[in-house]
Amino acid sequence: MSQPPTVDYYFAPQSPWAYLGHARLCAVLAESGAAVRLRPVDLGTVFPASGGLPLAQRAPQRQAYRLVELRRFSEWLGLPLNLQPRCFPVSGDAAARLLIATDLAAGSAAALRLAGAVFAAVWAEERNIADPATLAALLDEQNLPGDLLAQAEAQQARYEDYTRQALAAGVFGAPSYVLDGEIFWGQDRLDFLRRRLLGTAA
Amino acid sequence: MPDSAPPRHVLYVEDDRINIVLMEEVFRRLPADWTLECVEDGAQALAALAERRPDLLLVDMNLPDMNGLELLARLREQDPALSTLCCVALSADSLPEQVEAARAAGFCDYWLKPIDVLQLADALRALDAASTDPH
Repeated sequence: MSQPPTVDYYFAPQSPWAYLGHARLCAVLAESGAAVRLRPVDLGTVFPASGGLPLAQRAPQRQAYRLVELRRFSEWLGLPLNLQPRCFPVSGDAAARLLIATDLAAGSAAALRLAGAVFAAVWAEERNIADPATLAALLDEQNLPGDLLAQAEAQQARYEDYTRQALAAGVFGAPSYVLDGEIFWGQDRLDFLRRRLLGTAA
Repeated sequence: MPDSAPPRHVLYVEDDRINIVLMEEVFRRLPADWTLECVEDGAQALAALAERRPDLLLVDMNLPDMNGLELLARLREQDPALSTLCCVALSADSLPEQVEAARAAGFCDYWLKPIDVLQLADALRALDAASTDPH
């Protein structure tokens, strides 16, 4: 039996665009039977290496249009989103390490569940994902073992490795979905990923 | 949905873990007092139903230990009061005879997979409104 195709899912836990695309990615995976490899990455490393800028350093026009697009997509997708959440900007490093530990210990479906909860924590629930207490609560809410938090501390090297893998794959922003070396950047490209996975021309 | 609508508890029986993730994403679009409990087979569903009666039961029709029709029969045998529970079948099988068999067995609706997050959120709201509408 042939192996199912595998999507490499590069994202940052604090990315609103990853939040907006998460459910549709899961739907594409369910529909196509594709496997997924979660690859949380450090955008603080990816942006400067690939010509991007952190949000605060972007031109005012780009910052303003980002807010328009966030509102537009959240309304279209029926997904609650605070345009300027209380706990943002926020470091995604601790959440990224926890997602990696969860993926390794409990599998990709459990990690996808937790990732959805982490995204919602930042963008809909005004929670601080850099706070270990928040991460512990999220694990509990997802019926995942609390000791994953301790295991996460050992995942810094893998987190850095995933970030290097992203750069090697040509990734420059999040979310990026990579299938057979082809990059689909942004949640608004999920339809192209779906068509590719279902075998229709993208 | 009016603000005064009561909290809703939904039990989802599904062995595909990606579909469980997807259902949680559906619930992010619903009011915060809608709660979702997921179990992965019929036996776990029967145990969960013995603990707490949900407002709605969502059943994948192809479970590892029994199919959806058998689960529905067994839960009613376990507790006849559950015969009034609204149960919705979820399946990728769109054959009319399958849909008819589910309805004849007592499922109140039959929703086709793959799950569309927005449509399913709307369908859950509509089902809830219909079940609480006094008219």
